[in-house]
Amino acid sequence: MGKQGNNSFTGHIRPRQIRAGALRLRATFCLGGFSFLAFIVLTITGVLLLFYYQPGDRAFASLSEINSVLPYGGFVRSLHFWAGQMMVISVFLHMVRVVWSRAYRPLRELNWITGVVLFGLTVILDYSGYLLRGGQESGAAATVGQALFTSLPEGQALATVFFGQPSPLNGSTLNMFVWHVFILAGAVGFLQMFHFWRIRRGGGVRPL
Amino acid sequence: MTIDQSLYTRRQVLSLGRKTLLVLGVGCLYPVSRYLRAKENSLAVARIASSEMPLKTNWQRLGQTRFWLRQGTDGVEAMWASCTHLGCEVSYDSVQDQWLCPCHGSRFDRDGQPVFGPAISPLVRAEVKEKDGFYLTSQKV
Repeated sequence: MGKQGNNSFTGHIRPRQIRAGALRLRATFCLGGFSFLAFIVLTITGVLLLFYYQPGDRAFASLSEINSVLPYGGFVRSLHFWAGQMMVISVFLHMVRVVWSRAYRPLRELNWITGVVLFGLTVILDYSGYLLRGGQESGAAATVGQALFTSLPEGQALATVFFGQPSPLNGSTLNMFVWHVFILAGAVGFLQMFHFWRIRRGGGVRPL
Repeated sequence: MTIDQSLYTRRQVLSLGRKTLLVLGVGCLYPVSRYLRAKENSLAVARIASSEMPLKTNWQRLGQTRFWLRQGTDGVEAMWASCTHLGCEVSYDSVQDQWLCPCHGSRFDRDGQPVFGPAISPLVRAEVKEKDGFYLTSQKV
């Protein structure tokens, strides 16, 4: 059914030729791939959480409900949290590997910049996800972030665009919710696809 | 690199990986469906502090819910304001002393009996319990 082997849609992901050196684990330690795996887990668990999470005043209450009342709710939430932590760590280690193996040099500068932007977005996603928790520490973290923003020129407006109107006790707002779920996650997804395309266009690293 | 026949080929590893993913995916179906269906058919509940309870004999809505409360002959009575025709939210009009449904024009008298329109069953009452200074209203099972 459909095209066969490497000519099919799923088959096109696998490369036709592999450089012998690319098969060694020490080439990349699979760090980039692991980061993407963590991202996929985050997306799926994130969508599942979206069914019950309510941003704003009911954030902490809806999360408590997910934790205690819903079947497998605590598992989904824990997966989301730990996948997030692992993604930040593995993206950072991946960056260290790229620097170590000098894979940022011409002609790969654009991909390197894309990677750095992805790292920044990942960290911001981690931070914004923490605000969405809706606890007291979230409120404190949001206050700190807001203060940082207002120190910039036009800071007050910027702070409202990003944080909305969080209370000192609850960092979760509709604004932060939209940034975390749609804008930032969507941007990371899109940039990842671009990042992978650049790698494969240049001959690829490890086979999938 | 020499080829050792007792090792797996790459094709076999990938095929095993595909099967594992499939098994894991199918295995996720049951937990995810339980997670998503958890609130199915859950009954509505609401509460109001006794001190805020309006002591009127006319029906009054409780907040934004479909519970309407009034002081009856023996205690507090509650009505579940869903039309028995197709479930639209009905409201009590104190001027006409009737429950009115906006969808197909059903009307019920003050106690919930149908008087006009496609509805033929009376409106359903809700349960009221008093506990620790609160009135707890819940949909009937």
